[in-house]
Amino acid sequence: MIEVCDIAKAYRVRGESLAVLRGTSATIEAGAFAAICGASGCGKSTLLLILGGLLQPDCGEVTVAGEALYALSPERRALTRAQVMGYVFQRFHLIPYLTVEENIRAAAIALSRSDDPARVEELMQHFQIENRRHHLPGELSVGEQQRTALARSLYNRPKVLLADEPTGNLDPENEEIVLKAFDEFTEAGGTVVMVTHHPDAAQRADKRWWIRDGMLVEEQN
Amino acid sequence: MVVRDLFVRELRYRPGGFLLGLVAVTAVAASIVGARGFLAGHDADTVALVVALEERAADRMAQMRDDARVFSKSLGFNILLLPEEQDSGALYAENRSTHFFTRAQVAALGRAKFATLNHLLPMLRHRVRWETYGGDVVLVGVEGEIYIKSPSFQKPIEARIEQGTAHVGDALAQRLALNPGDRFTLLGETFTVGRIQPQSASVDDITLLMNLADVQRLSGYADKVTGILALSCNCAAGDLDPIRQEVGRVLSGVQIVEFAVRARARQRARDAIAESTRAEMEDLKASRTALRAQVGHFATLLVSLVVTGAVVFLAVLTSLGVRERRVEMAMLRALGVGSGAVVGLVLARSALTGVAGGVLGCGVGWMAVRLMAGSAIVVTTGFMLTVVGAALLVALFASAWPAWRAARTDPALILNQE
Repeated sequence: MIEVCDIAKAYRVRGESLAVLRGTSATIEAGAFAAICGASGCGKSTLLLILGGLLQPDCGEVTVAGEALYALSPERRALTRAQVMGYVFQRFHLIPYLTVEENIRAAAIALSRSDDPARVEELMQHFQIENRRHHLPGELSVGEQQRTALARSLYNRPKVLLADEPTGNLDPENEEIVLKAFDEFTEAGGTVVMVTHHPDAAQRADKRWWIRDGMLVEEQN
Repeated sequence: MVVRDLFVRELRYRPGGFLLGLVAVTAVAASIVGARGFLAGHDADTVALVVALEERAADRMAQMRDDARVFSKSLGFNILLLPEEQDSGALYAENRSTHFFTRAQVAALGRAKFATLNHLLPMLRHRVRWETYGGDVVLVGVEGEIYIKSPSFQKPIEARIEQGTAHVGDALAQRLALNPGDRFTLLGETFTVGRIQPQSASVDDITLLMNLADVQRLSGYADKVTGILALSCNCAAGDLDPIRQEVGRVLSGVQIVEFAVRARARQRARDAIAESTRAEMEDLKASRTALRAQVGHFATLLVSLVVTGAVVFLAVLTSLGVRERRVEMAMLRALGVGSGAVVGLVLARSALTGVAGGVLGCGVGWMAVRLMAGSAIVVTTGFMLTVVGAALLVALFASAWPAWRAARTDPALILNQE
């Protein structure tokens, strides 16, 4: 499902090149729940952005669902992202002026297709936010915001879920809701890549990858 | 859910920036419309002032013409046609002619259709010794006033004097105790006093105004006249050439004397008024033109400052708005929305600000012109539409750089930082 082939990425910091990823490769099968772990600043989020087609690596290629992301034009890559992937961030990044319902529907803006009210309803009920449908993000609790973001990421029925510290700000109850959603997603054939430094969350994954010295190292059970 | 929905929701969620931008664009449009309106009002005022001045001048000129006409008529005649050989000085000194017009010459002048003369009056002037009086008196004979112009509508300046009748000068009447209706004898003939002439402190006080035939008979100059009195037709005072040319075409050997000094002075005054009015008008136009230029420069400067200030303000405002929305825009990009649509969101907001501010500014400017200049006719709909278009361009221009930066911002960088 996801193939990472020899990707490298370096940032310029104060005029100096800071290598984050150094020509690393990995393969994540369809239906897998993969956790990427590592110390802060080791390049976990960078890797996730590269996997999502949002950050061009300095070299190497990423293939998701058979599409070599960085061989595509930016427009085509954006469309592929909307069709194939769902994103969940630690800080949710809900659009502040849209209601819960509208935020979920916003996932389909790039696809130019008509709304699917039944799908919205199904997701809101699943994540127990249907009674908050007309509320703005600022009026929600942290857990409700993350559940809304999760519903938004699933609205387009993606094949891959990319989650950046999705439980970092959550209480145990909401953390469990999120992780359970990931389990269900993988059981349905989807692939989850979750960046986390939370050991308990990482333990829920099928596979765990560590970033050490810019290289992905799979944890052996 | 489409991008348009995002635009509407965001506008309702953050109206502050939009309203501030609206104020800036409104100021731009209002300043343009106001400047145009006030300048056009100034131009209209200038035209009105010039027209009013022209009308006042025309009224004064007409009044002067009427005055001159009335004054000339009160003088009786102001032109005297004399035979060319006649020494006018001798005539005035001696009150006797040495050269005369004949009846045929008078008839020729009477048949002519003069454009410059009317009221021709043949006259014979002759000084005689009147023993009853004890001195010389002047006999002036007149008869048969000839109307050159519009004969059916003119009244004679002098009433016809019947033969045997004489209007007596004041000095003669005083010394001889004559009253209207009295009879007296002159050179062996008896005459009746028609009226006593008012005192004039001139030779007229010893003049007997009589029928022409009587004077011709008494003086021994049958069928002869000293000269012909006439009233000129509004020729400029002192300019006798048109009269000379017309008379010369009918009769040669004629000298033309103007003796209406006061009428001439009045005509000159009239000419001076016309000249001063022209100068006043030129001064008015020059000063209004200079003022117009100053006001125009000031308006241009003011509008330039307002436009520049608005562009800077809008650019800062849009930049702050883009900065405030950078995570949201990055998230939209992560959801697959293209950078063109993100730029469109920024520019659409600016376009709406431009159009709404343009319309509002036109209204404000129009009202200001109407309230302060008291005129609503100076700003056309076409001009207002142009201003709305200009406001749109100003708003888009101001937001072009922030929009471009929004498109260039790497969503990964934002999402990674946040």
